Amino acid sequence: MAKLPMLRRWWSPLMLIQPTSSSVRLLHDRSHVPRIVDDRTKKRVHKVVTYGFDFNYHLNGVQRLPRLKDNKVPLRKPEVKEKDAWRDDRAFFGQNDYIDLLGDGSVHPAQLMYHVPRWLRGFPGQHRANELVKLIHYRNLYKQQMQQHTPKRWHDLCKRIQYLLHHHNYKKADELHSERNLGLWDEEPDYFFKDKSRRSYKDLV
Amino acid sequence: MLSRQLLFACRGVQRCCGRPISSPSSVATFRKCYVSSNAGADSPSSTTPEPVFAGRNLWRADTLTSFQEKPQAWLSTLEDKHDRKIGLLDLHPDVFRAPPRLDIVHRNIVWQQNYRNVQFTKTLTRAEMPGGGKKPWPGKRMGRSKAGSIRAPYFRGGGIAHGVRGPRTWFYMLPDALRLKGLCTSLTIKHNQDDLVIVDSFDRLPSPDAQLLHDLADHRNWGYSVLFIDVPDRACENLALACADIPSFNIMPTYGLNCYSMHKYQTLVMTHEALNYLEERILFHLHRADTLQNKFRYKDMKEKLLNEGEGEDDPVHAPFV
Repeated sequence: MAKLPMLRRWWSPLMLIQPTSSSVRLLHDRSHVPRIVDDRTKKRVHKVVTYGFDFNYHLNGVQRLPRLKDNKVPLRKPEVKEKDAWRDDRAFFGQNDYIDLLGDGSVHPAQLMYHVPRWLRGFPGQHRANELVKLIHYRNLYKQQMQQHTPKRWHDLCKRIQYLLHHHNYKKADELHSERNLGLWDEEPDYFFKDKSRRSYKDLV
Repeated sequence: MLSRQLLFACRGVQRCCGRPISSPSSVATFRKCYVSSNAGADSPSSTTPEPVFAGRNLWRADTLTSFQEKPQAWLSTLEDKHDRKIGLLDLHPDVFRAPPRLDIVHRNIVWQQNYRNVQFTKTLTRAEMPGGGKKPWPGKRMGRSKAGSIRAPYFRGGGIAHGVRGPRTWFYMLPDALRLKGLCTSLTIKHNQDDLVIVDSFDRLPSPDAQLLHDLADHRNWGYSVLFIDVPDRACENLALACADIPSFNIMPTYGLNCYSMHKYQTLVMTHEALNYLEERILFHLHRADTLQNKFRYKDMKEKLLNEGEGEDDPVHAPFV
């Protein structure tokens, strides 16, 4: 007995049913493909819809986009941006980055970062000094000025630092002792630290 | 352009530059071909300048070893478009025949591209957004979800929980050892691939005509882009005027030399004086007493950096963060 060929329709018979109070739930699509994961770095993925498109799986190539009959409207393409590779800032990019070695040593490239805010020049970036460290540094510099002139901003800064302290102290794992050697502040030695790895009552062997 | 240079860095096509001069006979034949009849050094630019034969003083170079190739370069002049060699210079092997560490060059270029970056975008959290102090509706009997503030992240128009926070930098410094090695490797690559040209002086260029410079570069097969390196900050008048009309021909002082520019420009043209200066500076740092594996510590430069930017701040409003 020959098997009946499997019907392949893009519309499901369920959609022909008039929605009643009991069958409304049947119309929801719960396939969750592709799976949407909360990724802060990328934009949210939109589910791809291929209704009405006839896939040719045996074609060794890419099919043309679906079009309505006799539709000659061209595709919208973004304008070609011509980059002038020899514009002044591009032609001289990286100049003076080795000025402390090739010059007389009096100028350091950190002093040449005029486009960076004053308190961040030479300050380690986010991969080493996180937001908390950055804000504490900012607070050290502008405490007096903010308390006097902009108390609301001062209050917001203090709130943010408090929140970050709480976050790092209670919700993040402890760091190893010298993992973060930032070179920002003079570090006081821990006078009360005692090396308990060697004890007299334990066998050294 | 950048990737092409790095890709072909190790080809090592041996041309006249890489051949060592070990026998005195080759020097004699060179002398025969290139010695000039009139030896006046102060004569006008139409006569040939003094050819250079005296070996350069290569400071602390290991000349006794037979395993080290001794790099050499022609010394030419910009007087007319025909490439007339007026000397042969010995180059220091530690600078111009350094082992080709492409990974270090890559690290240098990545550092140059990233260490100056700043991002000024900032998203506000629910605490910083205006309003949002009052509970919008009571928790019970409303049939709505519980809400504590209209600026919570789950609200439309609310604050962002873990967003981009304030001015952010990617600043870091490579240790001196890596930066010097990157410079030496880049110079080695340039010399080995025949992209390094040494010229006696830039003021021998006869006219400020851009077309003349273009023809000169074309005749000598320099490349689309040329970087002229000279010691003083002020460039020679003729060269400056000629380069102003050609966007891909640019002039830089010696202290402005860097790995990114060396790989961006196809040809590097430097004066004899600039060569001496660069070698002296690089060798000074390679042989200096204190360590090259140094970390940049902000506290060493903190006072200087903050004092230099004193006049930029507004006395009333602290900068935005």
